[in-house]
Amino acid sequence: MKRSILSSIIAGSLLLTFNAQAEQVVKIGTLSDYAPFEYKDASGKLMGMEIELGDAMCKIMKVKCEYVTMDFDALIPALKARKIDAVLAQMSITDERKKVVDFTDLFTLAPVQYVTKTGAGITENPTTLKGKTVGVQSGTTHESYLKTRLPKAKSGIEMKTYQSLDQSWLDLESGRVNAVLSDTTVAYDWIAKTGKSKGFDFAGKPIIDAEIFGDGTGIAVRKGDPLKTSFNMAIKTVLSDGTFAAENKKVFPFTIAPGK
Amino acid sequence: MDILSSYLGQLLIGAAVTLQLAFTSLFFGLALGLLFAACKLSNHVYLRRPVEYFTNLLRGIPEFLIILICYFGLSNLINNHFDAAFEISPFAGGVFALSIVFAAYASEVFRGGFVAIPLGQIEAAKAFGLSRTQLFFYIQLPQAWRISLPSLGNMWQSLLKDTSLVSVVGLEDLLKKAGMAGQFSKQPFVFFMAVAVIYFLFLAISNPVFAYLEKQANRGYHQPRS
Repeated sequence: MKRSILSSIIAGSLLLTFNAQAEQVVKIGTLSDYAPFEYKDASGKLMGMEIELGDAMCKIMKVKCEYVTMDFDALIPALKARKIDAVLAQMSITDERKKVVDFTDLFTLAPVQYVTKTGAGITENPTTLKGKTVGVQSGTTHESYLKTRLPKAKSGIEMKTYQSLDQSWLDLESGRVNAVLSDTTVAYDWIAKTGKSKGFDFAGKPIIDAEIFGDGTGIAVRKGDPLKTSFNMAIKTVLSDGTFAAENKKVFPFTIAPGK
Repeated sequence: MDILSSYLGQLLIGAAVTLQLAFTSLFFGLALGLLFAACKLSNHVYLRRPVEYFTNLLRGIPEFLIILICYFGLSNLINNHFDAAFEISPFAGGVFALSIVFAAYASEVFRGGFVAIPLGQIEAAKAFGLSRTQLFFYIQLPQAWRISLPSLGNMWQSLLKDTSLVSVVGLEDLLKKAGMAGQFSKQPFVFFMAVAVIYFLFLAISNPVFAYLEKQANRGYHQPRS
């Protein structure tokens, strides 16, 4: 034990290294806790729909891809600090984010919906949420939707933000929030695995607000990075050759491929 | 429970990362803390003042923020100034942040330890003709260590748990691993409880170690009342 502690101390101090430039390695920033898009299985292997598609796209682009996982909040700072070269983490294309990063063409649709206890009488109509509390993940478009479209003073809707979506599911179960606003996709994963059996389901229709939610998600790269063009080409290929549809079918009964 | 046993390997890997972070930060934190304390006790204003301000600053900012600054800010600053692709790994960034915060608090603990040594002892040592280094290693350090140990044990306990903050920059420590497994399995509480047990075990193991160290440091004294 003593030896391994000492060696870890030495290793830790050696980790401050200079990185040689100009390797054909694309570092893709993603999440480790966003099933079924990206998650780690019991052996610690990163997998999920976006990882499969990411691998396929890197093959098309003929580059070596390395995945770097971190919290959602840290992705854009990491991209700007050149710790990663691209973000593939269900990041919605929004005007606000476009100010700091470039996005590829539409990669997936990302419908947004409330999840509540079944029969709670809540729909996509904000008036049904008056005096209720809604949970969202911090740094997401769901948070900015509630902040800008339904501020508490006007709508009477209380907002609670969470570091991860799991925490908001826990509070939904315990009744501290009346609804959770999230992407239909990951919410489907939770409902299918545990929510449904505990009496939770989608409430109302998906919310359409292109200005805040954007049309869907894309891959984010640094401003002016030519990587964008190659990713666009790769996205077009996986969408047309059936790779996308095959991976989509594995995890969702509905399609999230962007419309033609 | 099935899901817990299948993810146990991952949790243990996370536990190893937590321990590595904690021990590395403890090592650098203690060394830096001693150095800071020495600066604070120095007769030179130019040495004393900056260190006092620096440690006050470190203690006044949330640790989480310091980690973000060290990981993102530091590499940005270096890259912009030297035009190089300087890379700080999440581990190095995390250890750096945890170490300087630990050092900031430890410097006060050590300072207290040194100040508590009766002036008469130092005068006596000088009268006996002990050199400065002899004075430091034979008279001051052993006693300051003895006085500081209980507080340092306390700080070690909080350091061990503060390591979980580093997960924000992508390091998969014990708590992060539990979060990941919980997200996939949708049974977070199974993993939170398991992780609580592991953290508690770490502390249960480190307490006798500190008790032993205290006993060693107290040789020649009456047993401390506890």
